[in-house]
Formats: sequence, structure tokens, C-alpha cells
Amino acid sequence: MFLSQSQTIRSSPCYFTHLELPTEIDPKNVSKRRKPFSSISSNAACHTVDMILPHELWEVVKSSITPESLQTEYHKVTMTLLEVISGDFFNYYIKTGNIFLLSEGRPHIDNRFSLKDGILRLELDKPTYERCGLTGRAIPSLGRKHIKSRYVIELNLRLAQMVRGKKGFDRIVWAFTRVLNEPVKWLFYDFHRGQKSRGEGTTCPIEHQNSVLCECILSIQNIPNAVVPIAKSSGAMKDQDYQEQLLEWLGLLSMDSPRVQTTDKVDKYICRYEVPCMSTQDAEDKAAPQQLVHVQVQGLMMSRSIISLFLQLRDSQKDYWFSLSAKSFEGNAYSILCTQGRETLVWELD
Amino acid sequence: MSEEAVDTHAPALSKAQRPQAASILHSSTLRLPQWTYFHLRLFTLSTESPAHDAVTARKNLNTAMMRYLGIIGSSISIDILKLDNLDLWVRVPRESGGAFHEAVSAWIGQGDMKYLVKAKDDWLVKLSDSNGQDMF
Repeated sequence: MFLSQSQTIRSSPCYFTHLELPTEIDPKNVSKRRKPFSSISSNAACHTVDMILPHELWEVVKSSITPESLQTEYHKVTMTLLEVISGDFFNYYIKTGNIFLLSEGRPHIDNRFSLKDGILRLELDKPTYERCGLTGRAIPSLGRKHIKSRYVIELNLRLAQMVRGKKGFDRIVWAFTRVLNEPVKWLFYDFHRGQKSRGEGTTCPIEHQNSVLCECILSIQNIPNAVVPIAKSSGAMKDQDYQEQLLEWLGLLSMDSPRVQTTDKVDKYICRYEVPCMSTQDAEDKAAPQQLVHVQVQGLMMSRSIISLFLQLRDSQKDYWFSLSAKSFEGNAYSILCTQGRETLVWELD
Repeated sequence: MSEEAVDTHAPALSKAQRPQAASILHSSTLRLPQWTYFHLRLFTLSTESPAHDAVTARKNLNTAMMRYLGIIGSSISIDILKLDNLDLWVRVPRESGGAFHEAVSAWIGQGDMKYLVKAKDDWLVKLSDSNGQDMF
């Protein structure tokens, strides 16, 4: 406002969708191309998942939402890229099994690697890419336009020709020996964990790598006296300001802000936030404050676990609303709100 | 109106439309958010931790804005959303977000206090100071 227009950087848009889900969804056969499941599965892994639900609903589902039931055990491990594509680890996890690997590094800034469905993805800066000698493609970077400064190499390691002795594979080995040869910190998730037994007395290859077994951390916070501004009429959902305010309200609940509680009597000088209010009828409805629960899961959450979590909440009690938000490692986020009538609101942020 | 249209069409859909199909009632793109959110942390060189409550924090931010933009700076509305010991979450109008960022970064208070900008985003649900990098 007080600085030149160039100071106001264009913000990333938020895609809002208001939809109605069918009454029955088969958990084993979820269409991943349709919302809201498409927005969940477009982010392979998330580091924080926030759920906000009324206390009554939490009493029903709390026995089934535990770190064990979510199957979120993952490993932290330090390996070089060469170790990933060699020996037992390569044969057991990549050629025959199904794992997810994600390396340390900020998106768009550092060199980062990930492995999903047998495809190793290397996101590199230009100097490293040029030294690698592998073919990739340029991706848009955050800096200047029309300047190629970041590249992505995608290698499908499940192909039949990806074995030692073949030319293409030896080039990868060369790159991982000469260029990308530093140890990297990884997060490791095995989709077939516990399904495949290697026989008694033997251990999985990941345990030879000095890995640390981790579990997602579940933290539960009670929010008493919260005002719930979810409008009953779907006409209200078409108001863009309301869509934004509702998202902000979900954000405030996810950070345990006291501003959403009726007991909060803060001066206007400090904060002028007010819970959104749509019409007089809604204003009457929201007069009765609810007791809410904020459940936060921190750790490596795969999209599959989040979908099952969502369906679990949705199918448990039809009379309560709930919301589920997640932040991914790529810096994306999404929020899903299921109202009492099982209408679903989805916000996607890239 | 549009949702009624979707409902009336629902039975007439072809077989190709799976029964699991979700019917989209409305979709829109929010391009101009109203606010910008900041996660700040008070940093100090002195050994004892400074007193940091909502009024002090608001005063600090006000001083920072005054120093940077004069009397106009003090008119920019700043809302403190949460205060947790030294951590502070605030929102400012999006147009003033850049000015606020610069004012807060430049400010140094009594006893060598300053605010570190841990995170900044136009959407509160996306605000994250490490993007999961602390997990590794």
C-alpha cells in the first residue's frame, strides 16, 4: 500500500471446490482422479496433518485413530544414492517391493531426490545436472523467467534393462559414484511392511543401514467454547470472502489460537479478528459454542493413510462435521471440510 | 440454482458416470487473499528472557512500523493471532505485507531484541516454518 506495486508479489492462488460425495465409498476402490481424493493423492507425503472435529465425534473415533492403526511407521536413514541402487536394498525394495524415499532438501533450492513407484526423481541445479551426464528436462524455477536453472531426471528403476552391466544403468552408477556421491538423509516408508516375510532370523535390508524407526506423533488439544461459523445454506458457500474466512478460521483452529473462543476478550488494539458470520439465521445457530478437538499428526504421512483417515472420519458418524488439513513436503497444502450434510469443501493451495 | 441443475441431471447420467462420482456444486479460485500471515520469534542477546505479552508485542511492532514508515506506518492494522512465549503469529493486510516484513526485519529494540521472521504466507493453513525439513 505504501510501497511501490513491485513490492506486492503475486500470491499463489487457492482453488476452492464445493462438492457432494456419494453416500457410499468403497475404501478399497477410491477414485484418485476425483476430488477430494485427487487433492490428497497429488501430494505423495505430508509432514503435518491437522484434524478438527467436535468433541462428540472424537469420543467415537479416538480408539481407532492411534499411531498403530494409521500404519505410519517410517525410518530415518542416511545413505548414498549408490547404496540405493545396489545390493540387497535395490533388489528387495525397488525391484520387487514398493517403497517411498524422500531426501532432505528444500524444494526449488537444494538438490533433492525422491523415489516413488520405482521411479527415482532427481531434482538438481544446473551445474550438478551438467556434471551428471544423465538426460533430464528443465523445470521452472522461482527465479527469472526463460532461464533454465533447475533440472529433473526421472529414472524408472523397475525396467528390465535397469541391471548391472547394461549401458544405461552403468551411466547411473557412474553418476552416483563420481558426482552425486555424498551421503544423504532420507525418510523411508515401506508399503509392504509386515506383508512380506523373509523367513525367520533374517532382517530387512533397511535395518542394515543404521536406520532409526520413527512413528508419527499424535497430539490432541481441546478447544472449549469455540464458535463454529459453518453456514447451513450452500448459497453462502459461493461467497468468495466467506470461503476465505472459513479457511482462515480453520487455520486459526489448527494453530490453537485463542481468538476463535468465545471466552477470548482481547482488546481491538491487539486483534480485530472476528469469526465470520453469514446471515442472521446462521448467527443464531452459532450462538451456542461447541467443544472442539484439534488432533495433529506430525511425521511422514503417506497419501494412502490420509485417505483412509478421511474415510474413517466420514463414515463413523454422519451427524457431525469435521475438517482435515495437511501440509506436504513440496510446500503445498490442502484443507477438506465435511459439513453435517456430508457436503464437502476443498481448498487446495499450491 | 446450479446445484439443483446438477441434481436433476443426476439420474439421467450415462453408465460411464460411475456411481462414486462426486458432483461438484461450485468451484472458484481465490486469487487475492485479504491478509498476509507472519510467524515471528523474539530473539535477544541478553541472558534473561524478556517480558513478552500481547501488549508489549503490539507496541514493539508499532514502534517498528513507526520507525520505518513514520506516522503512516502506525496506521497499518496488525492483528496478533497467537502469542506463545517468544513466538508470535500476526496478520497484516496483504498490500502492507511487504512493508511490514521490512519494518520488522529492520527493528532492534532495547536490550538487543529483534524479531526473526520464521515464516510468511498468504494462507494461514499453509504457514509452516520448516516445511518438514526438521524431520530429517
